[in-house]
Amino acid sequence: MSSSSSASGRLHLSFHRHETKLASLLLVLGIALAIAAPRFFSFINLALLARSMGVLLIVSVGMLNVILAGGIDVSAGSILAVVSVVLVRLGNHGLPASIVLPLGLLAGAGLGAVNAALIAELRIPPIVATLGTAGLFRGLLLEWTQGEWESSIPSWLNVVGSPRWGGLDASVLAAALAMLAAAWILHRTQIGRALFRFGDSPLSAARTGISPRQPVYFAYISLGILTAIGAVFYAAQLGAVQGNAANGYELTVIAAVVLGGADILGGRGSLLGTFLGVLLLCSLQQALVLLHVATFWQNIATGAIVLLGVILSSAPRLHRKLLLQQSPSA
Amino acid sequence: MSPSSLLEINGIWKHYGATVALRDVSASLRAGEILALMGHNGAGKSTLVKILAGSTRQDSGEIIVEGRVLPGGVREARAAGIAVIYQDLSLFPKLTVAENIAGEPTGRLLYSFRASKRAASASLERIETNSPLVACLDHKVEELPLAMKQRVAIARALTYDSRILILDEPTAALSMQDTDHLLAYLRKLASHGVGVIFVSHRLSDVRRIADRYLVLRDGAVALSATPAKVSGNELARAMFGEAEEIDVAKQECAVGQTRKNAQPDALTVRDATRRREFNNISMTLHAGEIAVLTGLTGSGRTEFAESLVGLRRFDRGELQMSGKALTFSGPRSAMRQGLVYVPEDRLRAGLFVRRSAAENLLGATEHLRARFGFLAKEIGRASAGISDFGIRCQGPDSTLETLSGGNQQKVLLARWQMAGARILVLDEPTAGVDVSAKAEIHKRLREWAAAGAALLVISSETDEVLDVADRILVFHAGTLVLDSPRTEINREQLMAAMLHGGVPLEQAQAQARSEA
Repeated sequence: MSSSSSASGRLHLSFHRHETKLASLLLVLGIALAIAAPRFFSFINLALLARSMGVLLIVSVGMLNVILAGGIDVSAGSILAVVSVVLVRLGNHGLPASIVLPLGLLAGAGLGAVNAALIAELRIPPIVATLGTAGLFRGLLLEWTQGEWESSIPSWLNVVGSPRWGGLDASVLAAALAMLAAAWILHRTQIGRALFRFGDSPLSAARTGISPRQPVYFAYISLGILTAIGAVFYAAQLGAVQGNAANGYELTVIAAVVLGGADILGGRGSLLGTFLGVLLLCSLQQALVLLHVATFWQNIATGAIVLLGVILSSAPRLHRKLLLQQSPSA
Repeated sequence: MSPSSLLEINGIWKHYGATVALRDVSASLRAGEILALMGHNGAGKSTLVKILAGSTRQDSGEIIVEGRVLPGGVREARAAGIAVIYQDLSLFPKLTVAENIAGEPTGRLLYSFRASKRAASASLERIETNSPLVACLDHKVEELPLAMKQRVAIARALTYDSRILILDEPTAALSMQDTDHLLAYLRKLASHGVGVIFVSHRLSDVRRIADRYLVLRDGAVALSATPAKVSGNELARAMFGEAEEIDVAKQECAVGQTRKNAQPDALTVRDATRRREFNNISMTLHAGEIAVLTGLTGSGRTEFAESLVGLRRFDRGELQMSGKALTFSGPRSAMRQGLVYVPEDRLRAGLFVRRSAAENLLGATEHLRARFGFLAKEIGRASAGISDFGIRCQGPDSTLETLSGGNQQKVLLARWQMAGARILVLDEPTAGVDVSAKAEIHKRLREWAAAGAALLVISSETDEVLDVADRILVFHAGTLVLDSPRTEINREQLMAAMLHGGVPLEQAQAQARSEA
């Protein structure tokens, strides 16, 4: 028991046990790849891997905030689609980046605030509220686009998405900044700590004077904003968008965060874990592509690795919990 | 009123719909005073606590803390120096001890782990020298035993210069040893000028610590006096009114009755040992008797009881039922033999609180009956069970979460009686239920035993042990140090056995000296 609790909650390099397990899983995967597909470790491929991680990592950091606060957001994919279509459409109408980008962020924040309001004000369970808005946002988007593609993107967006710095692009930089900002907010500010507390026990939080609304608004709006930032790079990397973009993307995001050791019931989770979760998922995807594995096998492998990661992390804890339930006095 | 008055409660009224929760309650608390707030379930204690904590607003009346009127709101109450320790402690299990103690929202933007850790250890040092918690500041609270969690809650309450400390049923879940510790500690706090409001059902604890009693009945103040001026009878009358006083007195007389029809052995244990938990335990449980197993936390009694029903295994030793040696792979196989375990944490490990009374009574044991009853018949049986056991609820369809703690426990007992359990191991069956429900549960247990069941009750409450037992078993440091009929044991002998294994204290001390 003693070994499981390092100075928990902090980012530092003191690996929490789950992170260590994820790292070992990565190591195993790495060794297997070094044998099966040495090309994986070529510079070009690693740069590709980093680029493929950018958007997922940015949105996952937002999702971590939501899950830490005891929530879930299955409308993240819809928000991503809405914002990327907004960005591209307005851009194609000739509006400059200096107007379009703030509008996109505002749209993301606004949609996040809708989720938060449903959950905090009307007390709708998060899974139900966001399931509703997922359909609502997506449906309104399809109505707006009439199912048509935006097959070109404004030139400034093209610049954002183009690789530079030895194959990396701005999404990698943005993801790094998002991680740093989140680390600071989660560990060094009151609102960040309130997120952990609220997610761990809403009742205890209320009894110590934490507002029952603030953490919810903070979590969903931050996810909205980060999803909007992700949408910029999503549209830029793809070069074309349409109403059905990023369908089901939220499931990949949730999988990455949960694989990263976040407790789906709230109150427990780390940025380092989330990073490793994203890295593990993306490496696996990349490797399977390199090895010319069929798409459905990629799904199977992704599902299996998520389950494996979660079993690794929760099996001993679950076991202990059951025992403790039998003897609360022990 | 008096100049040293820390807290004044003036004419508080509170209505919930048509029911009046508090009617014109006035009281005061001086610095350094320990006020015991007592009353039956529903008397208005918790409403008053919630108003003081700022989480509920009174309809009229005011609360004055050190001369200033308290505005509503949890933060405002905290800022005024009021700290509440709820019965459920309201901690954050997944966060560290340090963060639980000193990480409360301060209204500032930034947060520092280092500062909160410093504040936590400073606060612990102020409270007690060599606090064991200092060593586990980085541990998660979920890893701590209950008594330690409670200390975390107290330390948290005192971190921010709390002048008024309110504890809601603080000893309900504590062993005797931990209770002693807590009471001594509260006394020390009071001597430093903290005003303490101690909400409790347990008369024995209240008597030891209170400077003054405040009893609520039906939302109104029924008694406010110093202990010296109040007899036990007057206190009981204040709490329950005239009629129920007799009920409490009647509790005494049934002891020993069931012993007469003690029948052959129901359960026999020989030389049971589990490494580091208990050693060479041999005992017999007879049909028709209530044996009470007691001992301090950590004495091995819970571990032993759990081993009886297959939740743990003996390393060595043998279990016999009606002469046959058995091993249980778990609760399910034990239940097939009519042996049932009723856990202490009934909400999580016993009942299905979101489901109906009928489901909890019958559905829960459906797999054991191995036949399909028609629903209408089942509801009829459930209704019968509800009236037989005197369970107060809206009907068989009402969900368990709408029932009081005492009635929930009655549902659990009724379930096993209807399932035909013959041997029961009950862990703290009356923890957290009010006095009258407790008396009723005791009565049920006696009737059950009289009908031929064998009951092993685990209890850490001395009064309960002496009240209920036909036979008393005491664990100390993993051994069974006492096993004798209730009639041959008095309170002093029981306490001695629990505290130091039954050797008279002087002798134990002499032994310790010679060993040193």
